[in-house]
Order: sequence, then structure tokens, then C-alpha cells
Amino acid sequence: MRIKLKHFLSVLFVLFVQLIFAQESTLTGKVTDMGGLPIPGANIIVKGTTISAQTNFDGEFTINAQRGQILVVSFVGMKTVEVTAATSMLIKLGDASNQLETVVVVGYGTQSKKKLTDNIARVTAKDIQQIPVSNVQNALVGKLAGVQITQTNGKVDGGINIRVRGAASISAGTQPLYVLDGIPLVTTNESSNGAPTNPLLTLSPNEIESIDVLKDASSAAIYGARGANGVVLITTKRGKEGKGTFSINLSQGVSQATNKRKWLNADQYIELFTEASINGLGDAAEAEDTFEFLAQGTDWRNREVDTDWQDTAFQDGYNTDADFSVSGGDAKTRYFFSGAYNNTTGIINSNALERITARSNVSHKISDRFTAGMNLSFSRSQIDRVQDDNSFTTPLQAVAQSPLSPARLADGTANPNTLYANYLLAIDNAFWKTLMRRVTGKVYGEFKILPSLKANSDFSYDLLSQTEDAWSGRNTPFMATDGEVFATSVNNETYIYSNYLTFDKTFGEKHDINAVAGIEFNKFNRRFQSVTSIYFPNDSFQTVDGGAEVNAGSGNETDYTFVSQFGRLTYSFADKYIFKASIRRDGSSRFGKNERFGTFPAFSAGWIISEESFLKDNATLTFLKLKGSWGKLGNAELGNFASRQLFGSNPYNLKSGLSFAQAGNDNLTWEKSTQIDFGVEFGLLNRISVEADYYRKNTNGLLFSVPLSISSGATSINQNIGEVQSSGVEFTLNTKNIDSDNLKWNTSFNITTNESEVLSMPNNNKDIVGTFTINRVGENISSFYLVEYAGVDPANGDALFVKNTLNTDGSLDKSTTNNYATAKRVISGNPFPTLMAGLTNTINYKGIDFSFTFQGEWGASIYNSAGIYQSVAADYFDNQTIDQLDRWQNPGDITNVPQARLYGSNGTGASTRFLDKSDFVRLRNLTLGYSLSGNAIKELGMTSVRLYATGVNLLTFTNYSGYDPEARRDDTGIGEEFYSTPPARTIALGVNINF
Amino acid sequence: MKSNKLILIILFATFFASCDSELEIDPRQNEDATVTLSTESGIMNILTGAYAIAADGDVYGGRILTSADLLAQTGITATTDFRWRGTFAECRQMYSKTMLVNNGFVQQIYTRNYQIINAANTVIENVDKVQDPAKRATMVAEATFLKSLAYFDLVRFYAKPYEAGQANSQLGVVIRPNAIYDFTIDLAKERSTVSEVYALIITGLNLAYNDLPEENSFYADKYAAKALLARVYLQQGNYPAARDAAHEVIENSGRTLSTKYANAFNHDVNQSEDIFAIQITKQTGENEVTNLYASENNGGRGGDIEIRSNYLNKFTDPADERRNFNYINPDNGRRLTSKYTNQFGDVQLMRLAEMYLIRAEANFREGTFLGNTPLTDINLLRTRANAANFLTVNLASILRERELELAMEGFAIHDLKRTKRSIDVFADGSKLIPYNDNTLVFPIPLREMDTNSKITQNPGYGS
Repeated sequence: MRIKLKHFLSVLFVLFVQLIFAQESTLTGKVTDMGGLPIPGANIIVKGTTISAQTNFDGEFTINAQRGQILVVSFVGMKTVEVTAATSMLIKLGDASNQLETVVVVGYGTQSKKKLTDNIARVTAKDIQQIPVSNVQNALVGKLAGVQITQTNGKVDGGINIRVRGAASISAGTQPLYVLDGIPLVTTNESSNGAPTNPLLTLSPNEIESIDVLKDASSAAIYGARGANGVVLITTKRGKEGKGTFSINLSQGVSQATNKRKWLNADQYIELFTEASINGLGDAAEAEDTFEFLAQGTDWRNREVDTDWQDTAFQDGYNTDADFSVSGGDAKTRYFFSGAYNNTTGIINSNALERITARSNVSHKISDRFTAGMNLSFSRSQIDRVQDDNSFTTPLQAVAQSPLSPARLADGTANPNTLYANYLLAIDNAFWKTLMRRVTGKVYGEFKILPSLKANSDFSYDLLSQTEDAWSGRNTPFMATDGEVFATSVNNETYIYSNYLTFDKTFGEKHDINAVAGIEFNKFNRRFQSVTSIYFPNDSFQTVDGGAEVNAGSGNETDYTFVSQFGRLTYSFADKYIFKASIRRDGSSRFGKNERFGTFPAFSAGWIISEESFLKDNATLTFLKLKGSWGKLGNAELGNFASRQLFGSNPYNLKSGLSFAQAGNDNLTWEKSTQIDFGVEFGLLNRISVEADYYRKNTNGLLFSVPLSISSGATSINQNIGEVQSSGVEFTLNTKNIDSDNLKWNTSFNITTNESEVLSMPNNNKDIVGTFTINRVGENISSFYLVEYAGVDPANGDALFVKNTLNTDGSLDKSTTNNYATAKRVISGNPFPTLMAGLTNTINYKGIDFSFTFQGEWGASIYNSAGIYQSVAADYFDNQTIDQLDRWQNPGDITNVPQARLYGSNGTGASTRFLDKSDFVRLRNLTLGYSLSGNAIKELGMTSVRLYATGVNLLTFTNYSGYDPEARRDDTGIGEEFYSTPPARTIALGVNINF
Repeated sequence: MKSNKLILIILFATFFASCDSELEIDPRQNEDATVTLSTESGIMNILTGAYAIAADGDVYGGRILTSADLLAQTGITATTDFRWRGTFAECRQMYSKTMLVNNGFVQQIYTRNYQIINAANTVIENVDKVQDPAKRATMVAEATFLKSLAYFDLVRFYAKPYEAGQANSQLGVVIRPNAIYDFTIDLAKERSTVSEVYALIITGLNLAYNDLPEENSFYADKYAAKALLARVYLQQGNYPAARDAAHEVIENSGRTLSTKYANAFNHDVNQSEDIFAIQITKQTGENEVTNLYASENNGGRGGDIEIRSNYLNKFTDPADERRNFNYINPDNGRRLTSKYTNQFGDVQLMRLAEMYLIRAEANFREGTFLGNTPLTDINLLRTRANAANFLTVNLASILRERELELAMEGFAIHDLKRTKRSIDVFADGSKLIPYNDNTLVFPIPLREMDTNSKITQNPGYGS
């Protein structure tokens, strides 16, 4: 047999090659950072295989690899590098915190920050984690230009208001659209007691990878009809290829109110009210009679009782946080699991929150072309609530009680005979528990049809289920039915189904095209029911079944849908010239049948000048980009049936009846907001980066509940009227001040200006007047509209007001009068700030990290609608603020506080007397951490341990005389405070351990 | 491969097809107006709904009554009949005659009454959907009755008083003769004169009287219209007409005085004495009188309005049940009326005792004896209350009897205005508030001033 030599040799050759490749060899290496410090826990993977290794505490590793293979080396926060395998490798990893390398999330995709022509502000996990606040929005304060975040008040369940670039509306919603992993979140407040609950309480900061706020038309237009107020994209964490990591975080904190006000003590109370009684009624009899009653048998003449009611309402708050997360993956599968527990005791008596959240994000590459995944999370929050700010039994209204009243009787029960209902009776004899359970999930698939064309299909589901149980025992104030139980149950369900195609290809090395086209269907249903029962045998029966009579019940349902189509095209030439266009068409069940659909286009363009040949290698000006955008957005937030003329159920004596419920308007449609943005970004010396933008948003066809002449039988009608404009400048500066091996110091500063002005109104620009505010052409939106207080007449102690009537020559009569009814209201202030700034500094020195954030707001005022009870020099027996002791007493006295006159209504009309500027600067966060090093850590299997101390709202600098410049009433009104709780100042200690 | 691509393209095509039909959603708790106005049951329900608006605590569920009584008080603890102790600034302003243009209770009385008027007009204009002609006539009559009731309280509160024998061309209130369906147009309108409003009220009540049945369950019936007419005529000082109307009700309505004074109050269903009462249940309506007059145990806020000795001293007979028809609230020592101790009790708007008082006063002023002498009528009420009978009566004692019988039921300020008495603030003549003072008239609510470009504000109120 003749063996063909060629064949034999080729077989041998193959075998030989096989042997070479089959040889097991072990290579070693070391991974350090740019400064030479070893990086423990870095991942090394042989590219294209599942072979991996991890560096030890000294940064060394060994791996089964052949010389010449490609190794992928990565570590969190650092740029991933690929090296060719060799023996004794030394691999240096550079910081990935270079702004331009980051990737931001845009709607239905991602984009590199460098080539972005939109305006998007971003925070990442490390900016927001480990801040001891019970809700996520609180952690964003001061960090995002153009985004104003205001905590409504200090209750644990207190809502948060976010305004992106000022107001784009007056009465349609002003909150941005929240999108969690592509799911628009239900953020309606489902509270039944007047004060809102915050549905974003159900998110825990530790599951969030990044928050991107889409601020301009070009970015937000892809969300079309709901993007006018900006879009907040929340992205949760995913696993990364590499060895699994496990980390836990524990912290414990203490909170107090940021500020307390000073009220009269027993001495001062008796002094002021006796004087007021003599001045107002002729003698002290009325005051002394009342003191007798308030003292309830104690010896008020000798000040036996001197209750500090404010103290009883506040308490020390505690926060406990414990969370863990597990994340990792290999070439095919990535996973992220997390769980968190938070227990917050509020700074207000009987207010508390306990929450658990858990999440699982898994994705798997089923084939080369097809990836599928599922994100699933659930959370359960239980809140012990207090009443809304306007309710008598809200704890902070206790400041109105007299110091002469004992808070509790000798036997420890709450004193029922106080000036106002004693909230302690409510706390002792009632509870209001709200339980929010949320399940949010997304199933998605991505199929690569061609290398450059992929198809995504997402199906998301969000269920917010809330129950409230409110029990009032027989001794609760105003209880006449031997106890009452009120129970509600509400389910909000959202389904979203999105399908989109993405095309991504570079032609001829210079032409980059990215295109997205898709459809989305969004359906929402809300079902609510409640029941009330009364007449209970005793206080141990606290559920509906315990009552003898079910005396009220209600149930209702509502739905809405959105059907949308969208597309986006991005083209860039040579990475220098970038163009982007997007369009979205939305239809919704919410709008009048004549105007059901809207189309929202947007365009933007950018020029990266630093890529041009004349700047490309410039060492000083390392980056320069110009960009601009224009687009149309919509605001759809106004009731599900606002355009219809409706009759609603109104029974009489248990017989069915119908009454006119809503005036209709078939032409009611979206608010249309046109937004432009021009900006420049530049970087100097690779250390300084600056972004400056001018923005202008014009909204016309405002959705407005226009007041009607009430003698017509209807009080208001929904119309698209008027136009407002919000404009301003944003400036962000990021600097790397020191960047050496041991010491790093970065600063980030942002400042935003905003003017929100009314441009036109219906009925020939007629003013629309509210309780304390007005919308008038040429003025700020919802400006304060009040009678102007002019101090006190030194001759007789009368309160004076500026007449502000119109003179024949058109000027205003600025003379004063003591007759409140003849003074006219004028524009007196702005409830929204016109200047906002934030400053964050981060310092790292060896193992120590230190960072702090300041925020400031200027230009806003707050109207204290409780001022007519609290600061009126003893007009009625409410306890007064201490400044009322400066009242006028003798002719010739110069003071701002009028004479004390009991029942005299001296200066009690709503006026600028109760309006105060709320400019402030606050040290918002401060964190000091220390990362332990040493062999002890290594032996326990940990890769890092960090101890930290952190504080929130530590210092506040303001001249505002109320509780806090961020405390506002939570049941109604704009820019009003009414016994509103100040936010909490919290200090926490914690430890963070990574395995 | 190709077929796969085709399948994919078809799939995406179907996805891209719009689901526009999903956009047609109807509200579930409300009904489109075009549907309601086109059916018989819809119109009948709107009429019931008009009663329901009246049963709101803002108006006939209570505040129409409490406002009338608070306005008549001196505002000074030592001299007042009833003292305001509560926290509502709105009530305090009425009590001390310092009402502001943005007074919320003033605004709500105005708003609700006009809602009643629009609902009534809607029924009248759409009653052709109702098949039975007799039912149609009754419904129109009921709607007209409610309209007249609303206009009467509007003109009594928001305009200067009716001056008997004068032309009464002072500004009254806005008249809306037709239902309004289109709210997108300008609805500004000026107030009509007081005489025009009264003319409308009387025409309406006469029509209602003609077409209402003698009995109509707890809804308005013939004698409710007649009783209200008696009250209107009395307010106008038209004593003969008032006397005749009151007489008709006493003689023919089938109502009788409750045997015990206490039985006239706090009831859940109409009693023999009720001519027209607002029905309140635990689920429907709000009893705002109890809320302000009763202790917490009796369903109120603790006694925001308390009885002072000044009032008790008006009784000449200490055994008069009406003098003792009160209790001391153990929580705070206030003397509170027993007329309102049922949180879900009905609110009596017209009861037979008032008719006797009207007949007696009108007879006395006219020198007639229709039905009974004034003395007999007064003594009838006194006997019922176990009070010693009078031997003679004069105008002062008849007017005083009204205060003893009808206190806290919403009559005080209107009686004061029609008899042209003044409020003697310090009980010594040093400070008098005359019956036609600016401060005794409600302001036109600020909200109406801001939205109705043609309306004129009452004197003494800035904006």
C-alpha cells in the first residue's frame, strides 16, 4: 500500500499542531492601577472562552492560557483592556471615570456621552448609594444641573417634587415621566387621607445602576406625549462577565428635625394674651376665663404647667439599612440579585416606614443571535402614617396648643380638654397603616437579524397594590360612633408592550448610522374600593368585621391607554459631525375625540470641533463640542376623561340621583411644548470639563381648569389656553484638581437659572386668580398675589396695608390704610426658585474617601397660610411665635408686629406679612469613609471593607423664618406651608463589605 | 432563510398596525351628558340630584341655617345670644361682622345654590323625555320649587334687604333663566334687581303650588311651596298674603304640631310637624348643623356654637321646655342645644310652628283673626312647650316668641332685617349695627368677581 506522503505529513502536522495547542500552560501576571498600586479582585478572562481568573490581594494572578491568546482584563470603575497573553505580564488599568468614555442611557438604547447631541444629566450608583434616606429621589439633590428636587416635608412618606428646567405647565402635571428599565412607572399618589404617598418609595437605591434625566426635546421627544416635563430613566444593575461578587452594606443612623421654631412659654403666653384681652375687649376676663379652662385645674397663675407642645410632636428618628447584592456572569449568562431592608422611624411622633425590596435581573445568550432576559422585582413597604397637614390631629398642629394645657392627665391618658383636638388622643387611640406592595417585571428578547440589525421585544408589567387600614378608637377626637374603621384597597396595573428594530452600522469607516423604529402599547387600569364601619364593642376590635354597621363603601375603576409609534435616526460623519432626528406619534384615550393623536418631532445636531485637524492634538483644549436641539413634546397629565361633559352619581336619601359633574370640551388635547437647547462642551488639559447650555421651553395650549362664573352652575372647565415659557442657563463644571497616586480631588459644580413666565392667557389675557397666587401675562407662573403688608401705625398699633389701588394716571396708590378690605392685592413673590446650584467635592487619599455636596436655591418665597393663626399677636388663643412679643404697646413704638387685640382681627388678613423669602444653602450630604487594608481582610475572604459615616441635611443657612425652606404643605396649594414638617437631619454609620 | 425573514416582516407589520380601537374608553363612575339628557331616567335622576346638592352641608344640610344665626349675633361674649367658640375663620367673620371677600363658606353657599338652579333648569328644559304628562308637571313643579328656594336664600344673603313699599331696584343676584350646556362661551352677567328676583321667586312658587301634589313622600309637595310663599311674603312685609298662605298650610296640609317639642328635632324620617325637611342618612347628605352645635359625643365638633344666658333670659317662664332644651357638654362645660344631637338626623327647613307664628304676626299687624286670634296661635305653641300661656300679645311678644321657638333654625338675621331692628353690640345702645348695614350682607364671592366681568360687588367689600 502506498501511503501518500502528503497525506501522512499533513496528518502528522495536524497532530503536531494539536499537541502544541493542547499543551496546558500556566501564565502569571500582575494587575495594578496607573500608579502601580495592586488591584485585588480584577477579572481576567481568556477571550472567547470560559477560562477566567481573579487577582489576589497583591494583584497577582495565574491563568490557564497560551501565549498569544487574548486576555480581557477588567475591574469595576476602570477601563477594560485587552492584552496578549505572555509570561509575567504587568497590566495597568486606567480610570474609567473619564466623562467622555461613559455611556448614557437614552430612550430605547444607549449612546456615548462624547457624541451626544442631547442634554442629559446623569448620576451613577456610586453617587447615590449609601445615603441614608428612605427614598431614591432624595439622593439626587444638588447633583444634576437643571433638575430641582424638593422634599415636600419631613414625614417618612413625604412626597418629592421634581422639576426639570422649570415649569412647562401650570395645572397639568409638572412631574417628569419616570421610566424604570423601559417601564413607565405609575407615580400617582394613592393616599386617602389628603397627604400624598410617594410610589417611588418602593425602589431601593442599591438596585440602581444609573439615573439619566432627559432634559431637552431631542432626548425626551422619543417619549412624545409624556415627555414635556423631562424623563427620568432609571436603570437597574446587571451582572458583568467575571467572577461573581457579593457585597453587603449595613448602616444605622439617627435623625432630628433640621429646625424647630420658638413659641411662647407659659409666662409669655399669659403676658401676651392678658394684654390682648385688655386691648381688644376692655378687660382681662376673657383671657383669664380661657386660662382657667386650659389649665384644667392646674395653677396657671404660678405657671404650674408649661408644656412644650412642639417637643412632644418631634422625636428622634432612626434609620436602619441593610442590603446585599450578588452579581456576576460568564460569556453567556449575566445575573444580578439584590435585597434590601430599610427601617425608618420618622422625626414626627408615630411616623415610621419599614420596607423590603428584592430584585433579580438575569439575561442569557441562548444563541449567538438571540439573547433573552428577565428583570423581576418586588417590594413591600409598610408605613405608619400621620394625618395630612390640614387635619387637626396632625402632630405638628400641636404647636397651636397653649403651654398652659397639660399634654397628659395625671393617669397618663391624653388631655381631652385642650384648645384644639389633642393629637395625642389620636396617636393613643388610632392608627393609619399603609401597605404598598409592588411587583415590576420585564421579559425581553433581542434577536440579531443581521449583524447590524437587531430586533427587541419587551413586555413589562407593573402592579402597585396598596391597602390602607385606618382605625380610630372610641376616645379619638370627634368620635361619636364608638370607633370607626376605614379600609381601602387599590390596584394599579400597567402593561407595556414594545417592539423596536435597531440598525447600527458604519459605512466606509466614516459614516456611522444608528436607527431605531418601533411601536409601543401601554394600558393602565386602576381599581379602588373602600369600606367604613362603625359602632365597635371595644377598642380591641380594629377590623371592619368588628363594627356593628357598615355605613359607607365605595368602589370605582378607571383606565387609560396609549398607542404609539416612534423612530430615531442618528448619523455621524467621521465622529465629528453629528445629526439626529426623532419622531413619535401618540394616541391616547384621554383626549377629546376631535384631537386624539399628536405627532412629536425633534432634531439635533452637534459638531465635535476637537476632532478637527486644527484641534485634534491640542494638549490644552482637549475637547470642544457645539450642539443644539429643537423639538416638540407633549404633556398628557390631566385626568382620564377631562374632555367629556359628565354627570355623576349624587344620591339623595338613599335614592339614586345624578348631578352635573364636569363641563366638557371636545377640542381638549395635549399641551404642546416646543423646546430648544444650545450648548457648548469643552475640556481643558484633560482635567477640566465644562458644559454650558441655554434652554427655552414654550408650552402653549396649556391644559387648564379655567374657573367659570360660579353663577353658571359649573365652577371650572378644562381648556387648552394660554402659553408659558420657561428659560434659563445651565452650567456644569467638573474638575480633577489633584490626580496623583495617593491623593485625588475632584469637584463638580452646577448652576441653573430659570425664569418661568406666563406669555398669554384666555379671554384676552385675563388674569386667573387663585387663593394666594395668580397667573398673569408677563409675570412668573403662579406668582404670589397678596395684599401688601405695610407694618404698624406708630400712633395706635393698627396693622397697615398698602392700598395699591389704581390712580387716574395709571400708577398705584402706595399710601397705607388700616382697612384691609380696601387694600388691593399685588404680585408679591415667586413660589419657585430662579437660581439653583450644587457643589460636590470628592477627595480620596490612600484608603480614605471624603465627599460632600452643597445645594442652594434662591429667588423663591413661601407663604405661611397658618400665619393667620400662629403670628397674629394673640388674635385667638393659638400659641404664637415668639416674634409676636415685639408687638406695639405704646404710641411711638416702631415695630412690625401690630397691637395685640384679642378677637380684634388686627392684621389677620392674608397678606405679605406671612410671606417670607426662602433662599437657602444647605450642606446636603457629607460622607467620610475608610477602606481597610491588610491581610486580615484577605483571610476572611473579603476583597474590601469600607467603614463610613454619612450625613444628610447637616447644615442649613437661611434667613427663612419658618420651619425649613423645603417644608411645604402636602394637601393642596403652591408654595404654601401649613404646619408642615421640616425635613430630617440624619447622621449614619455604616460598613460596606465586598467578597 | 428567506421564509424566516418573511415571517419576521409579517410579524413586525402586524405589530406596527395600530390598536386604535383600544383608545375608546368610557368613564365608569360618570356618564356622558348626552346620554343622561336623552333618557327619562336620566332626567328623573337629575331632579333627585338637585335635592342631593341641597342636602350638602354647605347649604341646606346646615350652613344656610348657621350663617343666618351667626350673622345676627352681637359678636361680644357678654351680650350675645349664641357665642361662636369654634375655629372656622369663615364663621368667626360672620359672628364679628368682618367678612372677607374670599370667605369660603360664603362662596360655597353661592356655588351650591346656583348648581341647584342649573339642575332645576336642566330638568325643566328636558322634561319632554318623561312620558307621563302628570309626572312631567310634578317634576317641573318640584324643580321650580327648588329654584325658588335657592333664589330666595341668594337674595336674602347677598343683596341689601327688601324694603316693603319701595321699588327695590337695588342690586339683587344674577338670574339664570335657562340651563347652561356650553361652558366654553363667555358667561358674564350682571345682577338683576331685588324686585326682579322676588318676582321670579313668587311666580315660581305659585306655579309649584298649582302643580305639586298634596303629598309627595319626602320631596317637596304643594304645601311646601305654600309655606315657602308665606315666608317670602313675610320677608316682603306683605302681611295679608303671608297670613293667607300660612293659614292655608295650617288648615289643609294635614300637618300637626308634634305633641312634644323635642319630637320635632333629630328625626330620621319626617314627623307630623315637618312641612319640608332635608333628608340625611349615613351615606347621603351632611348634617352640618349638628356638626357645629353638638358635643363630640353627639356627633359634633364639641359645641362651636354655645347658648349664653342672654338667650335663656329671654324666656319668661322657667318651665318652658324650650328654655331647658339644652345640655352641658361635660368635656368643656358649654351649654349646647338639644335641637341638634343626631349626627345623621334630618335638617328641618320648614315646620308647622313657623306657620302659626306667621299667621299670628300677620293677623296682628293687619288687625284680623283669620283662622285664630294671634293670642290663640301663640298660646298653642306655648302650651305645646309647657310654657305659661299669655293673656295678651303685642308685636314685641310675637316677635320674641319667634326667637324662643325658632332659635338656631336659620331665622335670626332675616327677622332682624325685615323688622328693621339693629344689632346692639354692647347692649347699651353705644354701638348699633343697623339692619341694612353693609356688613350684614354677604360679599359676592371673590371667585365670581374674578370670572364674571359684568358683576358688581356689594358696597364695603374690596377685592
